[in-house]
Amino acid sequence: MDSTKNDTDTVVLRCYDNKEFVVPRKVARKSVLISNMMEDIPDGSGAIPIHNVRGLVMEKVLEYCTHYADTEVQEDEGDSDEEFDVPARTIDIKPWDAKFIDVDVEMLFELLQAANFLEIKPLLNLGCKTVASMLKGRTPEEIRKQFNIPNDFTEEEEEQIRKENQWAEDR
Amino acid sequence: MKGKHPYKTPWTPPIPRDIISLLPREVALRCFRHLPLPSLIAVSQTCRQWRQLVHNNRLWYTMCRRHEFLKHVQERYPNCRLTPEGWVWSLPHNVSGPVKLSTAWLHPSTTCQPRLQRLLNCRAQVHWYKEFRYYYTLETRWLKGRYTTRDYRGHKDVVLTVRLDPVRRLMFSGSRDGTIKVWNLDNHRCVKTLKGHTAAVACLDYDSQTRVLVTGSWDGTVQIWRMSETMAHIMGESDHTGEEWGEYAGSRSSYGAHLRSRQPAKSEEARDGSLPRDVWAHFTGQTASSLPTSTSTSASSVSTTASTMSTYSPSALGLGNTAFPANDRSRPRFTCTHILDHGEEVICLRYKGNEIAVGTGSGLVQLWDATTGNCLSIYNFYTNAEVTPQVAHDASVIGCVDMDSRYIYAGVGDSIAVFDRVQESILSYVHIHSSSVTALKLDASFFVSGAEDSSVLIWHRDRMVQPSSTRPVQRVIPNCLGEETRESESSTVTPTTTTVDQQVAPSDVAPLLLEHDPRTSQLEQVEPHMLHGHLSGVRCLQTHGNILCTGSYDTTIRVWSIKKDREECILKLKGHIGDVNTIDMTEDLIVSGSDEGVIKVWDFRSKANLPQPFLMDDQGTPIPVQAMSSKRPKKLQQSHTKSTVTRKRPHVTENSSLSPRQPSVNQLSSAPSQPLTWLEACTAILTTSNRPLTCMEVYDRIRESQFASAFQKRGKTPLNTLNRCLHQHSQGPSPYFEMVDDTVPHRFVLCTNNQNKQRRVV
Repeated sequence: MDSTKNDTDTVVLRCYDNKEFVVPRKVARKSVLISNMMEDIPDGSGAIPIHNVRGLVMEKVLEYCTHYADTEVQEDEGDSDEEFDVPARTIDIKPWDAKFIDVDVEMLFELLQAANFLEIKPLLNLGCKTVASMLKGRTPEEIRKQFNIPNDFTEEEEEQIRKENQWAEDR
Repeated sequence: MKGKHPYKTPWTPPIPRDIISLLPREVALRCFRHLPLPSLIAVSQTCRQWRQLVHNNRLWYTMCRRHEFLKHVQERYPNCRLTPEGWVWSLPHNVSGPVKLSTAWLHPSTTCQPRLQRLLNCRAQVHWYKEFRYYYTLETRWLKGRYTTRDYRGHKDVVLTVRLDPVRRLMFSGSRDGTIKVWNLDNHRCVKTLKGHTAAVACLDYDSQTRVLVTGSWDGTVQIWRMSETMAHIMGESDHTGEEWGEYAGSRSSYGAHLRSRQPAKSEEARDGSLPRDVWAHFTGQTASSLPTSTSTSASSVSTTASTMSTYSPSALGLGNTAFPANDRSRPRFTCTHILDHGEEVICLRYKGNEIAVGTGSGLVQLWDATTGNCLSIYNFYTNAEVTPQVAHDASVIGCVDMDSRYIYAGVGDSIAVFDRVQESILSYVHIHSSSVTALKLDASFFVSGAEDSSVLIWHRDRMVQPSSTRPVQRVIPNCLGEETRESESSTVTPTTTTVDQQVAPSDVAPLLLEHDPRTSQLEQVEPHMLHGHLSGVRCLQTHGNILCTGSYDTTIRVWSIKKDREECILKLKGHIGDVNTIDMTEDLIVSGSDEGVIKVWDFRSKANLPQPFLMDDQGTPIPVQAMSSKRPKKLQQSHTKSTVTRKRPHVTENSSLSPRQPSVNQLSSAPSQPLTWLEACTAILTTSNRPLTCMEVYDRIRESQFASAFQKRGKTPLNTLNRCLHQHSQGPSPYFEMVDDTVPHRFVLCTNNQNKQRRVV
């Protein structure tokens, strides 16, 4: 398929709540899933159904894709181990990304799911880093509070776990 | 098109708050992989589900990688490829997949019990969590300076050189008294004294892969010693074959001068296979007078401490490098294969990749082939008229030498000479120290040099400065010639002055070390960093990974952590009375020899045991086995109570701290308590071995492995029972095992049908 010719064209995406988005192909191609589907569907055969994403979330995802439409994605981005060689720091997130991802936990969750489903690696990474920065530097108690998790350990178990993890707190 | 959708029903937005648990597993793990260790630990303490998530092999692989522990782990599995998932891939098998021990190896007529079948299908997996915990703890101990020391006394004079064999936990030391001693680091005994040099042993080097020890002495010779590998050599002198002796005598006669007086009659006797004990004893260093310890170790050679051998068993399951039976360590046998005569004092040597670079007292560096004993070339670093430093202190002495495949680096007087082996010329004299260069070391990522002016300089390879790509090679050489003129000016500087400012100032004496970057094929110029600290001259240095140790005339040892962006002194070890002449280190210990004739071992290991890989069956379930501690034969326990106190023995089945909720571990504990039979254990061991094993080796491996429960069925003489089992099952119409040949001790392999035979034996 001649991508240069078609990049100016648009494609219609239909979310599960029947919201439709008309986006340039260049933008849609950011998602590996959609770009695969575009190749399978002949041109002009109607909207591409995206069953798993809400319209509201899709809007947000497309905002990201539009912003990075002209940025080339590296082949292995998000899969290489090098990426994890340094623990996440909030500083690593670019200003625009930081502003973009400044959403509530619900939206972040749905964005992560959408990015995972649509296979948009950079967005998935951004979301993961954000979640990591929410967890970083917190005590277990604080994490439980933040994510509303009940403590399902018994006291003995807690004691035992603490003992087992002592090696890590020795520095 | 619809096939592209993994979910059939439309997705409904949940209203959760614990988003981690609701996210797909791999996404949640991706989040965790960005976390630093303290947060990861906090996360694991949050709730059961998160805790289970954290117990993910790939996650801890990421952590190992981040903390640069991978190379340590890889060192322990030299022939295997480790994957992030933890499967151990054996290199020859990497085409066909993970190490999977095929049932095809078994005799077709054999009817396997199901459990046996399972053992044969198992694969090995590395626990990245355990690996991480082990090396993190070790690193903490280095950083916090938690170590135990022990003195090794035995040399009658100054200890000039030490070297470690990390795989077999042996130490070699050379002294001014002319002897080389071999020490067992586990029972702290001298296991052998090698005599051969007639003057001080100034330097030695060793390669644990080839088991070759090279020693250089002030008597002008370099001797090459080969250490025995197989059990045959230690099980009894009667096993020594004539051929071997003949070979030995042959090599000896070609260098006859040294031992001619003893030679003639012996080689005759040797041919009929019997070796006169006294001569044998002499060459192997086992003279009656050599050491009382040698007799006591030989007595226990069969039942060497279970604890010592298990503290380091990289090849417990045949996955590591070629197994070196633990017993061997107590009495290794050394054969001197070559004596290289230099005719002048040997000051330093380096043995790398089958080549020996020897530095002498008159400015020569000679390159020898370690296998043939031929001199490959001689480089004169002193009389190279053009570039010889004119008055430099000790200019004629090669103080230290190191090499890679292209360059030879030598400390000549107070400069570092770089010799290009391809162009056959000296590229440069780097005149950067103000006094004799005593030590230098070429490492994967940096180059370090130490000198008597108390300075240590480090060049980082990845910090090479920019313009190199544009600078042609020729430009560099005028640059160093220009330096030569400056060198002659500064030659009046007395060696004792330590003018630090002068050394660092790049404008004055441009610090120049030529490095070869294979990618750009350019010679590059790098700026060194100076490590301050020692109060007196630096005598020796050694590196391992990111740690640098320097020993000095001020009797202290300093430990430096080398990071990409900075170096810092993390430890100062005091204890020696005299100068620290020599130092060597591994990931968990430092050894140092000093003027008072004492070798000190600074041991950083904790009580924790080395993590062992797990065997898993096809479904990924750990093979249920029993802990071995209580099942160890009584006899062994008694004879080694002393050592078991100091280090408790491992367990392959030691519970991972993160796994109380792991189904796999539950399964483990609920596993039927039926012990393995000898037959099953033997089969498992032989399956995992890539070469024929003797009964003794099988015995050792069973004891180290998770199959140790076979000892439950032990008789009073487990070794005999095992031997009988092996022999019994290698006879009859459908044997399990097969004897390789008739030589004693018998070696066994799994019985196969003909088509697999070749593969197995190879």
